[in-house]
Amino acid sequence: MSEFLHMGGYASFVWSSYALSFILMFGMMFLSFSQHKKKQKIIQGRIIRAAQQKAEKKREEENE
Amino acid sequence: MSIYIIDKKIMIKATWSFIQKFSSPPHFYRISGKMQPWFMAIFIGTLIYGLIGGLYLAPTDYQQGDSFRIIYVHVPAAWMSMFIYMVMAFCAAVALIWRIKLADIVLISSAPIGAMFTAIALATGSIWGKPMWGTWWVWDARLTAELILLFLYLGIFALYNAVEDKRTGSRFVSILVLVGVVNIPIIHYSVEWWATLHQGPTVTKFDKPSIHIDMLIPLLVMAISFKCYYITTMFSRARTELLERESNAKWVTKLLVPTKAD
Amino acid sequence: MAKTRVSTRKAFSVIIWRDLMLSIRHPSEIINPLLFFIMVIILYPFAVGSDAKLLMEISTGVVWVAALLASMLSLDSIFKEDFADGTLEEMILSAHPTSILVLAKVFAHWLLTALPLIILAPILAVMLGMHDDGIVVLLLTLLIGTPVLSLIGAIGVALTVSLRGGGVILSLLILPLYIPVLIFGSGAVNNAILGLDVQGQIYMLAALFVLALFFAPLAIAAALKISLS
Repeated sequence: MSEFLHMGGYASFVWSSYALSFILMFGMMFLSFSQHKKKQKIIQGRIIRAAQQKAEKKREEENE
Repeated sequence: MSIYIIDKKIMIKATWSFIQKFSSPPHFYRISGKMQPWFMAIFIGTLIYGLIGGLYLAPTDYQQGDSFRIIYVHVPAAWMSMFIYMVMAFCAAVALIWRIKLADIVLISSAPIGAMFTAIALATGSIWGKPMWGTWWVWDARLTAELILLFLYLGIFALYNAVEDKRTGSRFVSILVLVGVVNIPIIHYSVEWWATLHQGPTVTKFDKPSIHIDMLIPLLVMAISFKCYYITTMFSRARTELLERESNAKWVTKLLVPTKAD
Repeated sequence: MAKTRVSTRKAFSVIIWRDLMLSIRHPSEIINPLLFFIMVIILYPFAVGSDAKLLMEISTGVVWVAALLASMLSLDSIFKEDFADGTLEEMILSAHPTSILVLAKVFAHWLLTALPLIILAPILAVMLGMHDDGIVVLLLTLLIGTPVLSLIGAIGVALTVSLRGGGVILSLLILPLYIPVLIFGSGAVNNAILGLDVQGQIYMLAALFVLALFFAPLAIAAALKISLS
């Protein structure tokens, strides 16, 4: 196992390039996922609020 | 003969309506959402297989030692950087000619991923170069062309972000991408010619023709893995972009707040 | 649109003539990039020292890079005024193909900005100690290469003319596309100085010129149409 981690003396080069690549790739992936979730929530909230306002207006009109 | 012609017309019409249907925002949103987990699963599966094959099972290179194992991220990343630009160019042509909204969205959602892969290819190429060439940076044809490609990607962001109206921005970017795609072969050829002129062709290159089959298979598996990664991530970005641009559309309401749709 | 039918060829020459005449009113737009070109080249001996051999070695690169930057700097003026005063819109609405009219504008711009630069370049090359053979090829490559720079640059201007702060973006957009011209242009001059064959590079530059001549006007016209919409 330690031999595997050692990479024939090139450990720092090999592991740093793999680490860098996967940090960037997974970072980008999770950022994209969370942005999508966030956008869904924002628009959902917007729609619900608009519907509530509409309903309130209707009720006010009926009360008058 | 005439039957054949009618047939052809019907075929074209059917294909066209299929394209229009698939590229309609609600349809794409639904289908991409369904396909995303599958691509994610293939990505993770091939990634694990490729990493074991590349880092552990593949024999050590007799010239480069274990440092050659960097190619299992470097080469697929470099391939992806080109592949994504080609996808973007295709989308740009489709967007400009047929005005298909989805093409715009796929184009702009792909750009950050392409730029990221270009940056990875550059960084890992430079890390590989340190033990091989003794310096972090050599004006090698491939690395230099990759650097120029990064600037082409950065130009796309700069232009897109400078335009306030996203529709106009996408159309500008489409033209820029098409101009870039005409230039990429020219840049590659000229840089290659320039590099051989300045330093002689003795520099060891990544893709030696005599690559061992045990080394090659993990490389191809990693390439598939990165492609699935791209599709998964691009779908996510495209869906975000679709929600943003179509936030007032009925299908968005129906999808996000089913009870309120009437 | 045009009731009195003017031939496209006539429109082409009218636009060139008009732009040349208009430039007399704003001579600074021609002179400033030239001064920039001269200044950049003069800065080099101060930066690297007055060693004649070193200056001779870098002279090709210095002149070509300075020419490239100067031509980029002058680009901004190519569509700006016509965009602001609506001339561009009329050009697009006219019956003539926009790409041809746009080509006339680029050609006029090249005559005004690049030609003086090409005339000045040998003087500066001599100051840097460039070899005579090099100077001849330098003139030739600049003559073929600068139109390509103008054509590619005009695409960038057409994309950014409607934006605020487009100038900075412009350089990011077009400098990567300038690299092949720089490689073949300076490569030919370097080969000439070393006494090697320069035909290959000249042909490549000519090929780039033909390619740019065919495709750039189409891209410029398309970009301008979006800018004005």
